[in-house]
Amino acid sequence: MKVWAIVERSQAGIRRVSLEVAAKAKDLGDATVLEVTGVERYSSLAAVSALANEAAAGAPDLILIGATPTGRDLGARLAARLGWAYASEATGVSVEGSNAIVGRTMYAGKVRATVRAALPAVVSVRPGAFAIPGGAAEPQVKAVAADGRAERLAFQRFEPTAAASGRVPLAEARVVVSGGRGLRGPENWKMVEELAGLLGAALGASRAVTDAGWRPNEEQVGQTGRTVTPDLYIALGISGAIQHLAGMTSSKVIVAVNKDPEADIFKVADYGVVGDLFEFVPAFTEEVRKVKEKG
Amino acid sequence: MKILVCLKQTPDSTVRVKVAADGRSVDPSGVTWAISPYDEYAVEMALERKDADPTTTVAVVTVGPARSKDALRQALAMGCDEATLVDGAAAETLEGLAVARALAKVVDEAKPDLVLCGRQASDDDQGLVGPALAELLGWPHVATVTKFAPAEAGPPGGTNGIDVWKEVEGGHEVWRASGAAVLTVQKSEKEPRYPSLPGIMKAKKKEIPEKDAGALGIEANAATLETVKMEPPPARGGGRILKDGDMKQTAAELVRLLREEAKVL
Amino acid sequence: MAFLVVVWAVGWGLFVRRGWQLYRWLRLGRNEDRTHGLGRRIRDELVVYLGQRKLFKRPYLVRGIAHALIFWGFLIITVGTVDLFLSGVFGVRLPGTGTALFVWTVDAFAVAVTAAIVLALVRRVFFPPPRMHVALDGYLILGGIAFLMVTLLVFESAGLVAGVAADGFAEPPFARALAGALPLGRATASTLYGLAWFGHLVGVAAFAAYLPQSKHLHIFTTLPNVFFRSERPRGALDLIDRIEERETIGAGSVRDLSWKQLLDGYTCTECGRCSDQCPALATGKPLDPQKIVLDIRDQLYREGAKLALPGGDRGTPPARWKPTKTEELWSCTTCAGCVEACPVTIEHIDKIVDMRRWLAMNEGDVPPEAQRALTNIERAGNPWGQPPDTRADWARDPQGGSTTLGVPTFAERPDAEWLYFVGCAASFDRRNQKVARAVVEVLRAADVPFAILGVEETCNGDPARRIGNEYLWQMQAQRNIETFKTYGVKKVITSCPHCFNTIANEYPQLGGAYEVVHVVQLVRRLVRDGKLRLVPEGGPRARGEGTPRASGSTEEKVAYHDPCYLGRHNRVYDEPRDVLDAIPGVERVEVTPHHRERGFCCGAGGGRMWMEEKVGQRVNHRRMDQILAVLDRNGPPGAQTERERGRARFARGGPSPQGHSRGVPPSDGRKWVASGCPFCLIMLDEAVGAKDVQERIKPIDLMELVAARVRPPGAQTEARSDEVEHLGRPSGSPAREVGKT
Repeated sequence: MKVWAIVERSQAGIRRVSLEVAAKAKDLGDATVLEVTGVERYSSLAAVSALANEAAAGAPDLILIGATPTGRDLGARLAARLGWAYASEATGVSVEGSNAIVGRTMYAGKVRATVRAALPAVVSVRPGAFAIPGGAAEPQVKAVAADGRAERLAFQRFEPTAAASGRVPLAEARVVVSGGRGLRGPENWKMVEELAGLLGAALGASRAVTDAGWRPNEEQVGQTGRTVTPDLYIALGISGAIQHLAGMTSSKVIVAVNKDPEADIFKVADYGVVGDLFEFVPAFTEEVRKVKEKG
Repeated sequence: MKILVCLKQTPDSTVRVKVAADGRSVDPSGVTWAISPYDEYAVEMALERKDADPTTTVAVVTVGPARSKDALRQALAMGCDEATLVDGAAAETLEGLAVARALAKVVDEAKPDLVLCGRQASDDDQGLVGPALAELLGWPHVATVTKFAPAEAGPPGGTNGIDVWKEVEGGHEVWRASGAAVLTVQKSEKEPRYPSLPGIMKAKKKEIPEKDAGALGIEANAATLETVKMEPPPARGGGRILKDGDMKQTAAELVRLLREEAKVL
Repeated sequence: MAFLVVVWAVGWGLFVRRGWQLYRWLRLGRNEDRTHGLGRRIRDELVVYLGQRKLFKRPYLVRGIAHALIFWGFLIITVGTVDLFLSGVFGVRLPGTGTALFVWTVDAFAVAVTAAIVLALVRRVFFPPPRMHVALDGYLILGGIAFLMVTLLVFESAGLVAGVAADGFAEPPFARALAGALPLGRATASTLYGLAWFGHLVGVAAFAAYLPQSKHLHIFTTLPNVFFRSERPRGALDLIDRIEERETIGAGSVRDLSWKQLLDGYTCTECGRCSDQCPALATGKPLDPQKIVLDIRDQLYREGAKLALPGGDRGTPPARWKPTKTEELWSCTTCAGCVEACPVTIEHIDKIVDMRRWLAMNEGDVPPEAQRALTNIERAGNPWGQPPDTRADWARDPQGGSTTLGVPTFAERPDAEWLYFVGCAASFDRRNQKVARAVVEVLRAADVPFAILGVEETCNGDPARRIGNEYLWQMQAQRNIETFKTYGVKKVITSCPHCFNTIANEYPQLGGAYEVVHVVQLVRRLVRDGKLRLVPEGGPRARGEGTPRASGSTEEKVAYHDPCYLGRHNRVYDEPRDVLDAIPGVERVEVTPHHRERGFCCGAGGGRMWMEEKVGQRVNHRRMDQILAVLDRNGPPGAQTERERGRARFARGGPSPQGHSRGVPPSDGRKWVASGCPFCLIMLDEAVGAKDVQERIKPIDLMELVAARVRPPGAQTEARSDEVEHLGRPSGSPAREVGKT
């Protein structure tokens, strides 16, 4: 069983999800870890061409890739190029005979499904789905050189979002601190940012709040925003509308703070605090700070 | 410019999706159907271009069962110019790659300058069709698009291509496509417009030609992806509500729990 | 003499010319049939126009009297003027003009009017009211009337001195007094007599020429304006029939407004009373109802000539008027404060909604948050977008299984007499689900045979109609009417004034006619008929009927907030108050002066529940300020200092007692505000939260107050006290103590 894991890098090195995928690949069979090199930024045609050639030569049975936006884009087009089955955002992967059994969610997270993908297949894997075994060394990565000329789009420039400098992106965040209408206004976001900064967390927001213009759209968690799968999701002043829940119920641990004891968010929270968040959050931030300082 | 938007009709986001008795599909009874949300953004994005340049034509197409015509009519009511349905016995069960093949045939006939679709459908959440379609057409594609505009410094009336804004970590990458391309859409600049009543009425009367998927040369191949089981997500809840003690105590207690019990801090 | 005839011809000629132009422009407007209900129209004419009834509303009483005097004086004196003209030019007098009654009346009014004018001028010059449009036009008119009165008096008195009074004609007393005061010789008086007569009549001609150019046109246009006022119930908007066949919908230019709406523009007296009542204007929004009306008029003046040309164009859409209307239009809560206040029966809301209809249905241009609410109504049957199959969950046992509250659906109980139409808010909003359960308790306690529609109920469509999407409203209404028909529904109970208003007043437009009550109306009936007994809080464990009414200090103070769609729109002011008064242990407090017809909106009407407020103070916060001010005035100052409150909170071991569980003693001088509307409840709750005044006040629905005090069938008190919030006293304490004397 030849399994390939395609890794992605960020500024800080190999992405965590790629490490998870690599570890899983190793679990499943004879694993090779590859990386597309030779292009400054991701370009689908260049990457797909390079990997398709490599796959034609190497004939893997299963290609895994982390389901980052890039990974999903690349995985889909690669599968189409190769004419293989494709399953996205897997939460579980195993192999049975000539099929991969993939666990994934459907209907914007409202349904858990198990699908059978005929091998060979490409599967993109949800961040956080698999564990990195403790003490694992960084895998050996085989470079696959891509030819930038395969791309038919011309990169013009990068436009940074003003708010986003230095922020942890939602997609792969392990901790998310999310704010809703309970915060009453954009001017109150300082304490959300402070807590997030302390926890190394990404900032999230409910749709109500992004619609109202309090927070940028990129922070929206929910059905038409981002689906996040962190280890810890802290919902502040969020009532828990279904569309929001759809975006975060796959979080490992959910903490909710809300004044209304009947808020729907408490139905999914593992730990709920019924109270005034303007009092709780500073107190909580203080306690977290203490803990972080102790190390 | 001619834009073709590929859309899919899916259960509306307000619907509580229920697993059917067979345990591997969704119960369609009582479901309100609508254009899949990301596809709706794609339609809106195309229409915003049409607002800016009224010579633009926007066509929509979907591959699916007869009820998908309603989704096409909604797009027409929003202001699209024409719609096509690819249906037929095969259409309902076609999976991603086969859908992309059918769409590729439609694109070959319609010859648009640009193809838009939502980044993923709200039923299967796969996100396969957009990139697959681009691949089958041999066109470049950009995913997670939030905006596109005619490339600056182009000759008036001539096409210097379009600039496309792709959402990435920390901002946007701007890519230029000088020829035809496929864009998968994350969000449009404005919220999808509510169809005007005259639009709805006109759409009701419009002809929607149907093409048979089989006739397009698409067979419902042996599926490469088969759903073997479906279940509702594990019920959450049974969580702990902390409200004893004052805020400081509660905060300290929560931190302790998160460290020791949940092990996430 | 000939000169005078010429002057009159010219003056009145100009009057007619301009009048004709105005009439032609009026005809540009869309057709509207306003001829039904002749009897009511004639009655309104007498009471409102002739009787000046709407002018005497507080706080404008004195001004109203002044105006009434001027108006009546004007009418009387006009007869005199005609007589003056005829007698002077043709030597003919009108019958009756010599009688003492007539002469004295004219005389008295001349003086009264002059006094009123002086008052008005003084006010205008030295104490102008903030929202009145004080312009040259006003001074000209006042000056003109004064001139006419003075010349009349001078004419009469000079005539007396000159001895030209006709034989057999009575003597005007004031003129006589004036004559005595004036040191005139006969000759001078004679000249003055002639001059005054001349001057008066020229003045009249000048007045006639000027009148149609000024807002004083209202003295003529008010006559038809009142006559043709809407005979629809106030809360009902007009129906757009055959909506699918129309090319354009709503008001996309002055042509699309009806002739009556344009007439409103002519009739506006620029008094500003509507602006005084507008909650949007009061809180800094760009909306001013007076301005909406005048801008329509001004736009018509601007475009009328061009549009009246053959093959004239469509006209400019409101979004492009100067200033553009869009922001203003969306700021309206449709509270009808303006409509109530207007002395000349202008209908502001209709215009605003018609222009919204253009934006919503022709342009698809609606604020995005509102649009989402509409899409949700269309797809999920409720503006929150909650799954429609959970609509009846409020009546379900949370543990699953059948309803513990025993709320049957019509499918289960097809012979039920009443339909309880729950409404989206009470079905899905957590806070309001408690109200629905309270309603059920009360209905069961009184043995009212009712049923609900359960998941077959769908949004009544009110938000869609107010936002301007008439089509969606018609679709929703038709769905409900079909369902009602299936079950043979004839009588409907609602707990939401918006449901109440649209089902009672608007569904008949589509063929759905039912007997509809708001639940407080039914409760009042039941209490009055002895079918429902209200006991002091705590249920049967307390000393019941024998308990004397507690003295002031232990009675709960409850302010009553009039919901706009119950109060102003449907004139239900007294029934909720009666119910409140019938509740033992409760003392009703009025939020004067903003109560009853002058109640201040909570801010959620007109679809604004679904829109952001981006400017100024939030309307519900302003309302809460008003309520708190009145409650503080009315009782011991229960407000602790910020620090004391904080300490109390911490000592109690937790945050704000929004919903108190047992064992938490909440009554620390807290007062209550009760209303009968789920949106008011949501808005007032939000205001309490935002202002952090949970310790001072708690919003509550009337039905919750009632439910806490009905004799339940069987001993269900335990279950109730968990679900329904009690008034400040946990069960088993003070109520019983009070009984022990």
